[in-house]
Amino acid sequence: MDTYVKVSGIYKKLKEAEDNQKVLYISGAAGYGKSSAVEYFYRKKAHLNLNGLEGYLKERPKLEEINQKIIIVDDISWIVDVDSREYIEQLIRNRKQYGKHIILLGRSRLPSWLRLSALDESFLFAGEPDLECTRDEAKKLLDNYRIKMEEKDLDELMAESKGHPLCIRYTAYHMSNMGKNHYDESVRQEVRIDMFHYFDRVVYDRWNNEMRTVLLALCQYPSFTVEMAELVTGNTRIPILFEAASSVGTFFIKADDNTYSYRPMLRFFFQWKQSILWKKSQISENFERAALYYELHDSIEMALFYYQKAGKKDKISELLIRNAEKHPGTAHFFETREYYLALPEETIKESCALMSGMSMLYSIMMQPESAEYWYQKLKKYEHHAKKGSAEQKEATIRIAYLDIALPGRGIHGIVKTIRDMAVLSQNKTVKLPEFSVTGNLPSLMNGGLDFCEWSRNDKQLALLLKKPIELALGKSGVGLINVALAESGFEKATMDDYEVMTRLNSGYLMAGTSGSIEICFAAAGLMVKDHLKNGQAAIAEEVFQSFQKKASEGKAKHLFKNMKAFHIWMELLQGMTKNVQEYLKDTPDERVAFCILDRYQYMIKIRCLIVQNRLGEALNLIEWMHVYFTSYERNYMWVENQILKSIILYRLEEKGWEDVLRGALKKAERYHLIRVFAQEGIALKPLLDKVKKSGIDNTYYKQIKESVGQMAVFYSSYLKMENVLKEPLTETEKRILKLLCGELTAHEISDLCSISYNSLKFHNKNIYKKLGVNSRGQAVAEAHRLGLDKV
Amino acid sequence: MEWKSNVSVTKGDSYVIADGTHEKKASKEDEYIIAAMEKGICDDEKLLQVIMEQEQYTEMIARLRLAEFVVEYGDYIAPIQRHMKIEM
Repeated sequence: MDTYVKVSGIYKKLKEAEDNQKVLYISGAAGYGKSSAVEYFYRKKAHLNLNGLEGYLKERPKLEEINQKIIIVDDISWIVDVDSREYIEQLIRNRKQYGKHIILLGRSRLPSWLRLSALDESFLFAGEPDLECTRDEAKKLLDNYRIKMEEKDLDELMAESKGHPLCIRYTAYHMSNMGKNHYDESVRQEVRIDMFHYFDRVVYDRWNNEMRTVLLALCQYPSFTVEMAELVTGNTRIPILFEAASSVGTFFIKADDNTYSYRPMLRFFFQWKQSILWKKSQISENFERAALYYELHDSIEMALFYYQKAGKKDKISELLIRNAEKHPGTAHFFETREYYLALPEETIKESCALMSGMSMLYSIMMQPESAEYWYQKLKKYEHHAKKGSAEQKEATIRIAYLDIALPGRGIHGIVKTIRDMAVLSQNKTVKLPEFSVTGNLPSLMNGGLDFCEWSRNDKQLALLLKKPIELALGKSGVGLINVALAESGFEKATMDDYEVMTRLNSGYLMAGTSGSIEICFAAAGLMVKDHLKNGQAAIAEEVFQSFQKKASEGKAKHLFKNMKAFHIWMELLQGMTKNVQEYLKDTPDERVAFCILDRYQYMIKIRCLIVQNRLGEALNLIEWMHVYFTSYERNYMWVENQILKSIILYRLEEKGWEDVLRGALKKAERYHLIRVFAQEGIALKPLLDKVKKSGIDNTYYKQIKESVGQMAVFYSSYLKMENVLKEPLTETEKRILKLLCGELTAHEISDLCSISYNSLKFHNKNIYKKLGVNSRGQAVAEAHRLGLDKV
Repeated sequence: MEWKSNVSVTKGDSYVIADGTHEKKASKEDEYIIAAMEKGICDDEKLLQVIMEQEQYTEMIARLRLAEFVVEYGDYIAPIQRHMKIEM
């Protein structure tokens, strides 16, 4: 019954090697059937088997004394003995002279001591893909056990085993023994156990204690670096051990970022083995060490994950408290919310940092009542604390911090709060929590909070606040006023390019040398926008790339997502949409969990959805954002959101677009915002040409129109909806369609295109078919909807 | 710091700032600043001096205090039009 099934892949390689008199090196992990394949191929020919499993060749007969033509050297990866290695090299060198054919088998990549021989002798190589069973071969193997597997089951088996010959053989064996024709969990379990026992014998037993300990310790993790492995295992010889493992087998897969991961089946094996050999306390301690590694590398989510696995509640609280010291832009509140929300209320009430953190978290999650609940708890704590005590001071500071930084509070009374905090911070023993003035956005006016109200007296406030802000914010305040003032002037078009750029450059320089990278991002983003405003897309790209390099070198990971979103916007402006689909896959899904910190990504997502003609989805997201922008007093983004809404409604030919746009104009007029309209350029132009602007100042409106017109000229493909036709139109069809959208008769069109009337009818028929319509009128409407009339 | 050209300031029980369309009653705490402006003190540095003397503040706190005033009455205060020195 148990007849070997020929695997065509390796058979071909063996034949090729034999025909061309090449040395063949076959590499494959345990269970891939290397030896079986070679034995089968040479079953009718005499061959000499040598084996290096012990680290050396027990037999080393002289070449001239070997009768067999075929020499097979198995387990070559294990050979460490110098004489054995030299023997094999000699075999290879002299094989032709003695009419011998050599096949080498190993579990790893080609051993380094054979590389020169491989070069000189032009080895042929076979690997796991050659050893894997095809679907037909798997079927044949099952047939040998009289198993008639359904196609669906066979699909699953092939997907799970990846054609691993031994796995398929075990499956056939167990299904036969259990009298089953259906590939189910009970079969899988039996196969797993058999595979584990196999690995135990041929892999685990071959290693010394040191290697075993390391392999058992690391199997708890999906991936790890050398540094992590050293910390988790306490073994400083990790690089040597990894190298040793790689030289005899393919345990690990190394990724481009220098992280290692186990081959999946081997990981399951080691986890099974660990569950037998290790106590629970050992496993917990192991997790704790991994948590420490992530904690030291500031990867709080992973640290919390592993502390939880280790059952270290006290460490979780400690980490959450420390995290609450950071501002929302770097604190990962949202990502770690499950841990905060799982904290017992009594634990939270004992810590000012945790109460403050909870208030901030709920505010980010748009639950202002819960945010206020914890704010009031903090106030109560302050009230009951001993007067003048450290606890009371801390509570006062955190309350003031929330008064400034809580996203839902807007900027009312913020200067007074800053003033009170400045008084407190004169006492050097009081440490103020970090602030995020930009909220990781390329903006200060519209960053952590919306400062549109302040922009109305921007110069006055800049003069007054420069020194106190730089003092109060420390590093976060360096260059801030310069950049903020430039942004205000840019957005309102009240500052010339020279002044904008000079202020931005000085702000960038100051922040870059002794400030924060967040301010640099704001400055760089505005420089890009200014260049784009002037049609200088290439320079804008250079500025962005320079900043991107700076951010990468500074490891400013917290900015990467918004930087990516910003660049997508730059591409959209220039009509480049090839990255849109990929970008949309990575954007947060507001329907799963809404986080206000993702607002910038959402706004770019809306534009991407417009481009893809997913207008309904775009509108849904706009409505989500509208609720947020309204309740959290985000004036700038409220206007931006309404502009995009009006564009969508206009494209859907919904009458409401005009009221929406007028609402945006009215609100924006208070702050004299120009650029928020201008940046929508050609997408907004047709609306502005039609909207009745009653109630809006004429000079302001004219300025908007001019700016929008300018951008429309530079970026005529912005937000042009992608052609969603299943079959694209030919150039002739596009030309005809555009003419159909005009007032010309059919005969006039055929004359203009120099084609016969019948040919025109033929083209029209194809056009209608591709557009999914039945008449010229419908074709015109569809063309208009898809923007094809403007192509 | 100056009021907009269309702004009037009247004193009854308290100061009332009006621009013909809207009006705002000044708070007690702000009256001395408005009074200083009514006396013709328009220079920000001099207004800061007034605040520092009145409230016994340091310069930094006085700046924040005056900024609060600007935020509160910003609708009525004339924006600075002149080109400002770009400080390094």
